[in-house]
Amino acid sequence: MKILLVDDSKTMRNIQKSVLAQLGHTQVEEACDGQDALSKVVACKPDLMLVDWNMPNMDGLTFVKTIRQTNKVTPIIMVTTEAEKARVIEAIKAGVNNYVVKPFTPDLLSQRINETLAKCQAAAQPA
Amino acid sequence: MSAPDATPPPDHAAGTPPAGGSAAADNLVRLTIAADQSAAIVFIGSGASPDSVSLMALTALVEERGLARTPELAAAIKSLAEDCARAPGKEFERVVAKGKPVVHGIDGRLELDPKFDPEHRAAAAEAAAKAAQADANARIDHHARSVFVSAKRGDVLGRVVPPTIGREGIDVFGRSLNPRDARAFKLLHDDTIALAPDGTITAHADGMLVRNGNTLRVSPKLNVPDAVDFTTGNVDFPGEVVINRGVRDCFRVHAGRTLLIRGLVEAAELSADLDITLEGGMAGRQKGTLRAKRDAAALYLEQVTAHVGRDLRVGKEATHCHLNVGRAIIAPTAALIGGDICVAGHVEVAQIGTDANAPTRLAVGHLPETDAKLHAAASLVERLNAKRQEALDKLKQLQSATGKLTASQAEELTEREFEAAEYERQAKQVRAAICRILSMLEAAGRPCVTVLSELWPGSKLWIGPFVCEPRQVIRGPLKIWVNERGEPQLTLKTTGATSALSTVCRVMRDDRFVDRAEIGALAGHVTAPNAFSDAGEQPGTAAHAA
Repeated sequence: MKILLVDDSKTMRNIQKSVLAQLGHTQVEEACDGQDALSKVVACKPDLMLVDWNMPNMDGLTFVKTIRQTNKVTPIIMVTTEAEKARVIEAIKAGVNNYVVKPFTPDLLSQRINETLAKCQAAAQPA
Repeated sequence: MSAPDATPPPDHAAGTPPAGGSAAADNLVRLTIAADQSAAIVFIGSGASPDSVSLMALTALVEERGLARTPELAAAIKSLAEDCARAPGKEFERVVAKGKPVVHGIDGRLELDPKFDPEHRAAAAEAAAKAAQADANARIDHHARSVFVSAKRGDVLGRVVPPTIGREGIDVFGRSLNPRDARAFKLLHDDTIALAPDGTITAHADGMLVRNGNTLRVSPKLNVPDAVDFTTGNVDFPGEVVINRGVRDCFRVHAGRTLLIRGLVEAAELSADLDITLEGGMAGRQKGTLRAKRDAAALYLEQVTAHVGRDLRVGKEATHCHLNVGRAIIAPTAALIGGDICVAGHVEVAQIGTDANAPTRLAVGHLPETDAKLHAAASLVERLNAKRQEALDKLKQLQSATGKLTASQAEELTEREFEAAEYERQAKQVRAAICRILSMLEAAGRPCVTVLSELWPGSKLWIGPFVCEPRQVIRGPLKIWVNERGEPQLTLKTTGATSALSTVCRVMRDDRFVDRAEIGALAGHVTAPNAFSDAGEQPGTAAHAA
């Protein structure tokens, strides 16, 4: 499974990468902002994306909206410090599948990744 | 050469002069046929009469001998006659007819790869030895010149070369010369050898390559009829090795399975992936080593360094040896005299030390390598715990200091959370490794020593976290063991009476070896209820079944 991490902080990307490695996901691509992610998403064809909200050049929400115009399937988890309810609703409306607020524990992130993947798999299976 | 006519050949032998005819009469003109009848040569001696070398006379000569009439023959005779006419009386020797040589077929054959060909190996070793002799600075290891050719499954050993068909020839009389038939090489082999349709030969088993005429096989057993010495070189064999005599100084023997040596082993290097049995013992002179991944047995061991994965059996004595034994020393008729001996499980011997108080150091329940690993792992757990605590303290500090978090504060908190979790994850892995090592040691049985005859002063016995030194000779049969509180005990087998070992020995705490209980507590290790049940009590039964 290929996973795209979009965050301007290398430390955060490393943390997320370690959590993913512990879950057995080692095919990880990284992008440092929304624009970088848009350029990589075509070649990488990820099965899951973890996206930060506040980034330079293109923020996470704009990235999600752009992606959702052409791709409504690939699950996206927003990992952000934006904790207000209105922001969460805004992100969900834009097409985010799950939401993790910073600070988070590795266990919480693992749990959200697993539940997102499980939901998407269940949805993909024919009734 | 054109097709020969049907003129039958004469009966007389090649080279003899023909009967009758003027040319033959003076014997100065002769026609000689090669022994294989592939060429006819006319010899004209000096002073031959012009009549005897005329075209007609020479033609008559070759016709008389029955040579096949061909344009080439006619042209050669004509040319010779002309030359003779131009230089009358001169000596000539001319090939006037040639046959087509026969090409005999070549038999099929077995071509072994040079590294599997004993003859090639011997020649290469000889050449290397000569080169070394020629170069004063060169060094050659004569021990490494092994005569045994071993193969591993999948090795391409060589190929069967198909026969080459011969080509028919024609002699000067126009008769066909049949080539010798070429025979195919019929390789006889069992299922240890695979022969591909293209002739490639591959080993289908590990072992020694044995060739006997047309038969090729890989033997899983190497039987060395005599000793391992300069006539054999070192032995490195993937299967079972039997050496019918001894092993000389500085030679190396490795067996991929078991190794049995019937004679005396000197200061050699022995290793086996399974068991080593020395029927005649080993005098290592502080250089000899023995490494058996499973069990080892020897009549006696003298100044040997041995590493045995499971059990070591000794018949008579082990003197001044360094022994590391993964499970038990079983030597009810033998004495352990001098040296350093470490055993993970139990020891059963007739005697420890001597009446001359030979310093004999015996540690039961400890293996230096395993202890070192446990020690390193325990230190690592402690370091990881300290770092985790540090990360948690920082985390607490950050959490208490902030009201609403900024983005960077949230990220720093995440970082600390991750750091703490990561240290805990790593510590958990190391603790699991410690538990595995402790379980493995427990499987070797409860550390205990059974002495059937005497335990002499001068001996030092490490058991649990204690070192014990007998004050005077203690006569057996007796058993030294550690009770649940970790205290060394002595049981006299004749009466069954048990007392603290300190009644007959100086017993002191000693931190030379790691304290298993302490490390077990650090790692959260729980001793299995039956881990120390029968194994230590009954050597050679429960522990052996493991």
